[in-house]
Amino acid sequence: MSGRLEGVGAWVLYCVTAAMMIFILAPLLVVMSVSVSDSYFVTFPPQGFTLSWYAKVLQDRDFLDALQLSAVLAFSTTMGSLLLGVPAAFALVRGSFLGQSFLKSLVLSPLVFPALVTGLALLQLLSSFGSGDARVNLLIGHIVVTAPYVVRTVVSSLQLMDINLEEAARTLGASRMKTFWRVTLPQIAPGVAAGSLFAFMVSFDNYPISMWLANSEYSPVPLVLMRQLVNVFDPSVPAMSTIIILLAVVGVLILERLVGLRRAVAI
Amino acid sequence: MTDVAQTTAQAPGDLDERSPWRLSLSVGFLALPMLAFLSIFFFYPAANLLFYSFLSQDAKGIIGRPFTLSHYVHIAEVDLYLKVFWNTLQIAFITSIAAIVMAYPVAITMVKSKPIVNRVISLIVIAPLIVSVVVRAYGWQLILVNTPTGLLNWLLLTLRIINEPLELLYTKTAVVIGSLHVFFPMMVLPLASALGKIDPNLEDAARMLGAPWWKVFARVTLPLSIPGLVAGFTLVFSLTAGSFVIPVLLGGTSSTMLGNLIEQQIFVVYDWPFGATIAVVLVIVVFAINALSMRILEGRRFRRIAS
Amino acid sequence: MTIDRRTLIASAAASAMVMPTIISRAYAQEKQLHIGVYNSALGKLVQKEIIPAFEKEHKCRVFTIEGATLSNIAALRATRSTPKFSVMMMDDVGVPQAKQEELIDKLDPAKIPNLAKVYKRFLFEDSYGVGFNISSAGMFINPQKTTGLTSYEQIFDPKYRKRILLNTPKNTQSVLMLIVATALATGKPLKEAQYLIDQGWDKLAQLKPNVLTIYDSEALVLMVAQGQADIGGIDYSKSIYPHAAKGVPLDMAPLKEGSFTGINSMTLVKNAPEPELGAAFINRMLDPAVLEMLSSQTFGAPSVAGINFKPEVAKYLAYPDTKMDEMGLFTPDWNFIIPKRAALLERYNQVFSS
Repeated sequence: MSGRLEGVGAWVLYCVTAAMMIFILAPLLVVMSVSVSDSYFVTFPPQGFTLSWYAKVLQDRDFLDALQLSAVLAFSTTMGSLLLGVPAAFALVRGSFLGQSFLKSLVLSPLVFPALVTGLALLQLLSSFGSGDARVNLLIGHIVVTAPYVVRTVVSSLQLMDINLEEAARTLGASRMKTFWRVTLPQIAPGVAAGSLFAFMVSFDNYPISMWLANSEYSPVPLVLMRQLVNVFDPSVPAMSTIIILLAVVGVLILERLVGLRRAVAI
Repeated sequence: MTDVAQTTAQAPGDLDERSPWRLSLSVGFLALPMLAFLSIFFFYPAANLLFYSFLSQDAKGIIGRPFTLSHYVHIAEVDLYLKVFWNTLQIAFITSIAAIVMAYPVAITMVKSKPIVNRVISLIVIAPLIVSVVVRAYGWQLILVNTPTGLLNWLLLTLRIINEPLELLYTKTAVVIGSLHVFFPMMVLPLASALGKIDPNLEDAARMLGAPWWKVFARVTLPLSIPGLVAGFTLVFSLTAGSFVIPVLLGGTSSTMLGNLIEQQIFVVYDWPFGATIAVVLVIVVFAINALSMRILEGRRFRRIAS
Repeated sequence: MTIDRRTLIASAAASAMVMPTIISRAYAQEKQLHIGVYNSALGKLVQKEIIPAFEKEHKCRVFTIEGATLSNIAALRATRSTPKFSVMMMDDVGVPQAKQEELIDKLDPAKIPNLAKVYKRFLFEDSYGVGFNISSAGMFINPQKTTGLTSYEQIFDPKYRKRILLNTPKNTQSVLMLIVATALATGKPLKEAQYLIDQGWDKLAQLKPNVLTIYDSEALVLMVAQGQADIGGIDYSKSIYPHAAKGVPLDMAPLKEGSFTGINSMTLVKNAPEPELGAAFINRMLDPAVLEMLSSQTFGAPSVAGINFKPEVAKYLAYPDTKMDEMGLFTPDWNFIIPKRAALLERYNQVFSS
């Protein structure tokens, strides 16, 4: 890409960017640093060094259950969002029918709807149906807010795609399915990957939907963390947080190797 | 539901058999599963919530008729709600503006630097998204503590930049800082995406014609990145206005937000109709501001391009 | 109802997606007991020290939600038509209301033999609720930093600007603070002031400049120990003494206006699933050995007679029950206050949250 930066403007940009990177990392590093503090309550600067909080946390059944639940929930949410979102994106880009742009804003509307209210409305609906399984309720709630992200990312990669390639494949005698799998899918893969990534992350970190739909049996990680924060003041909360941060870093690094994060920018 | 998705997924293939018009219509059916899902689990419950806000509750806590406007009247009459509305809007608006100001440099650097720099920035921006908002707000709690035991105060006092510890935690500022941290990626990513689509030749041309960097930015980069800006603004504004965790952990007495009042109504007082009423007003305000900002920003783009 | 059917189909599809991945927990076939406990150290103790043994003995799985009195009652209301919980913990303040709303059942001494050991004053509303852990309630301080605090009037002093932690209006303790403000405004003792609480708001509002933040969680009392704030309250001694006993600089302030009682209680839910198991759980909670363990950890007094405590624990406890009277602990007339509770919450928000 040309248009490299030069001059004073460039320096301003680099400084602001560097400052923002520090801003983003600081709270995470602070949390990690106090997780090894050997003191009755969390304080800065940390005192002493101990890994005992990790030992405590890794035996905490509530926390481990929550980690498992959140991972499964985020994965199922991603699958569900792809199943609904990818076809919808096709309809929005390839179709041409009356009310298409209205349909687009309908489908994307959960993104700008305060999630807290989405969760509240769903709680009301699901409790009136007597749907008791919190896992199903959480899955439904999460898909409502994540599927639009998939639509958005897939729409933008469909718009960039060269439709002539598909026609060429068809002309050369490829079947519909083959054309889809061999030509269309590889081209929209970045959008699908970005959408999946976002769906997974938004689900894993969701609080405003989960706070209404979770129950005593099934509470995702953010809720368990919040409860811990309320109940205990010792460094076991930072220890839990550090475990999650490390998991996140590992997960994102793997994704970066596999698909390249630049594509996630397509949101 | 899975079946529906699969059968309709084959529809785009009917290329040659049908007229183009029918083709594009049949592609349109692919949106049906999602539309059905959202109708049941989003539009219907949202409408139902609106309906609830007109119901009343008897002494035993049973919700039903008669219909009433009393909850809306109550919101208008008690100045608590007006103040909390104002707080919420103020916090959401300042956060969004701060996000815009900080996101431009980051997004431009992302788009214009070497791939390796881009990758590092993307990683730093995206990875925290998966780290719970609870953890991030908690990190800010530790940093902003008002006594010398807080990181920031400890640092500033040690470096002798200040003599008295700053009062940051439990203020609106703390809520804005926390919200900015949590929702910043939602501004940077759409913006970087929009900036990436700008033809670099346009900027080069402007520069060669002698325009200083700020003029290039104001006349070329900014107007062409408006779609990303609008997407980012609406996301950040809506997410901040509806937040719950951040004001609980970082806010003080003057930074209660609507989300906290809704939670109280449902979980503590069990007043569903009134909780629904606050929710409805929150939604209306968020939508109105989003629509307004879109109109202003996009109107601006059209004027720029025209001139 | 087309919507019902669609929902069913959708939820079936949705659950089909999760099912294979969530390995069904081994205890799936066991009986389940749902209990509401306190969102505090006391609740944690119940979860960690009492429930596991109970689960083993009764071959069941116990699930808990955590909340304070009001939210626990809200949980009962929300599940009124399809009761889910069997036992619900709430402060004594909540019992009359829960009884009046027909959310709870009378406790049966035949099924809960340990009820016979309970001091009569801790059986509420004709045995609809039973107390099990009794604290005193007042302001707490860091004794190394805050000295000479002898009256509630002093917490209004400008020298404490932004140095006071105020308990959330969601908690019962906030009502106690309003009674205190009323007593200060009217010059009447707490017993009379509780019927005049409408006159206390202006006085309470004067506290606002001194409030650093409203705290929602028991763990935040440690902010006073850390020096982030000087005074906190109103809170129960059970939130303070366990830390104090470990050497953390925290103590209850001896205030001349007097202190309140804070009585943690249990109720049996009306039409509860597993009523026998629920009654067995309440009986277990009232077991003298269990109460002794709770008291030694929380430094709140037990509600049954005849337990001997070590002196280092006994000094914190209002025990036996007659010591409560000697200490002048005061229990408000909840039947008068409770009908106003929702309005009090809103007014409190209005004073402090805007």
